[in-house]
Amino acid sequence: MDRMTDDKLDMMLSNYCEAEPEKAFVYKPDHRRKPVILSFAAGRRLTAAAGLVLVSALSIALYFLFGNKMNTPIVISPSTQSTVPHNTDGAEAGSDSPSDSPDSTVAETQAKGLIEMIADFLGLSDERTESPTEAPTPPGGTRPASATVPTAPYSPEPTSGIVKPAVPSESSGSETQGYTPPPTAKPTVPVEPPWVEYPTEGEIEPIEPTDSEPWLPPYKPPETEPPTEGEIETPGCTVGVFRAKLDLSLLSGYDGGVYCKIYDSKGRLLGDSNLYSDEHLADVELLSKYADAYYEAEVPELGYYNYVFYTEEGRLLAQGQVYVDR
Amino acid sequence: MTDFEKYVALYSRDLTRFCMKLCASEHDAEDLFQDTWARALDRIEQYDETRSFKSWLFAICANLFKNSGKSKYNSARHIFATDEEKERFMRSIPDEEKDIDAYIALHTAISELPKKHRVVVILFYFREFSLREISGMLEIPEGTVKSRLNTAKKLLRRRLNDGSND
Repeated sequence: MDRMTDDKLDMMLSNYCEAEPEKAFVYKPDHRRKPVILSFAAGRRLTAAAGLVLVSALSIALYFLFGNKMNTPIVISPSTQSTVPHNTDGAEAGSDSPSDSPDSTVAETQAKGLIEMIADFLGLSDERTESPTEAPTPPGGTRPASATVPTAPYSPEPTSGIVKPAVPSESSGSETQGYTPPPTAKPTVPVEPPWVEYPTEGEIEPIEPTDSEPWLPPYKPPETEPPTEGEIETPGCTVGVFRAKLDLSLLSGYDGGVYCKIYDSKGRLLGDSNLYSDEHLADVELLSKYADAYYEAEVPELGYYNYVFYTEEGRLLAQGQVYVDR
Repeated sequence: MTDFEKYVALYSRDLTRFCMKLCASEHDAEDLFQDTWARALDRIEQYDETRSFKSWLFAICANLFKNSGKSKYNSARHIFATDEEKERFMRSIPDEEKDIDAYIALHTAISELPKKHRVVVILFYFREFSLREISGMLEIPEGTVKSRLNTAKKLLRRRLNDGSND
C-alpha cells in the first residue's frame, strides 16, 4: 500500500463513511443480543482453551489419584470423635471421646500416618505416644496444661452430639499407665522423595532456551523510508503527553479552542511556528470540577520540555514542565 | 403511524450506517442501533422540535457509544465475525476504488481508535454535520472537536503507514 497522505486519507474516510450498508437494521423494542457467530480464528482459540482445561483437569485428577509423600489421600469417616483407641489394659486414653466405631480405626491409622509424616518433616520426636488428637509432647517436658488441639479427622456426625476437644494435660496419666500406641499405619504413598535430585557434576544437561511464543514471527524493526518531499519525519520519535487541570472559571463563557505549545530545554519551539494552527490544538474535556487539557506531540529526544496552554486570544491557561522519558 | 414510528422509518437506514462505522462488528452495531432507538423513545418528551431530529438522534447514539465501557459496542476480537460480513463490507466500497485491502486496513485502524476520537471522525466524515453541530452533539468545545479530529487522523495515518511497512 502506498504511503498515506492527508488528502488520500480524507478521500478514503469520506468513501468509507458514505458507503451504504446492504440492509438497514430494524428496530425491535424487545431486542436481545444474538449469539455471536465465531469465526474460524475464534474456533481455534476455543479449541486451545478447551485443551488447556482438559489438561488441567487431568493433572488435578492424577495428583489426587496418586498423590505424593505429603499428600496422603484422606478418607473421611462417619465417626471421628474417638481418635484415641482404648488400650488393652483398660486404661483410659484420656480424652472424653465418644464411642468408637469400626470405621474410625481406618481413619485413625491414616490420620496418624499423616501426622507422623508431618512430625517427621518438622523434625519432632519419633517416639510419640500421644493420640493424633493431642498435642505432641515437647522433648523432656510435659505438655502445656492449656493446650487445646482440634479433633482430627473431621467428623460430620459426632455420635455424642457435642464436639469435645482433647485435653492433653489431663491425659498424662496415659503415659504413666503404660499406654500402648496403636500400630503405625504404613504410609500409602510412594516413598520416593518429592524433590528432584540435582545431577552430579558432569551430568548436567544443557537447557535449551525455549521460545515462549514460537508461533509469532521474529521481531523485525520497521524499515524507515526516506522522507518524501515536503514531509520531514524524524525516525524513532517519542511522543510526549502534556496535561493540565484547568479551573472551570478560566473557560467560563469561552467557546473557542485551547492550544498548546512546547519548548525543549533550550527554548526551541516544537512544531508549527503558527501557534494557532490545528497542530497546536489541545483536547479539552469539561469535567464536573475542572477541565482536563490534554496535548500530545512528538518530541525529538528524551528530556525536559516546557508546555503552555492558552486560548485563541493568547490568554494563558496553564504552563509547566514535563520530563519525557519514553 | 405515530410520529416516533415515522422517525424510525425515516432515519433507520442512516442510523444503521452510522452504527456500522462506529462499531467493528455488525452485532455491536445492531446493539447500538437498538439501544439508541430505545433511549430516544424513553426521552422523546425531551426532544426539542426546533432542533433537527436527526442530529438529536445521532447525538444520543454518539454519546451512548462514547460514554459506554471499553468493551461495550466494542466486543469483537476480529474485525469481521464471518466471511459474509467481510464480503458485505467489500461490496460496500465504491467500485472505482480498487485497493480493497487499504479499506480493510482503514476499517481495522478506525476500530482501534479510542472511542472519543472515533466518534468525532465518523461524525465529521458523515458530511452531514458541521464542527459546531458536532460540538453541540457531543457537548464539548469546538476546539476539542478539531483537536480530536486532528489526533485521530494522525493516529490513523501512523497506523496505516506502519501497516504498509509490514
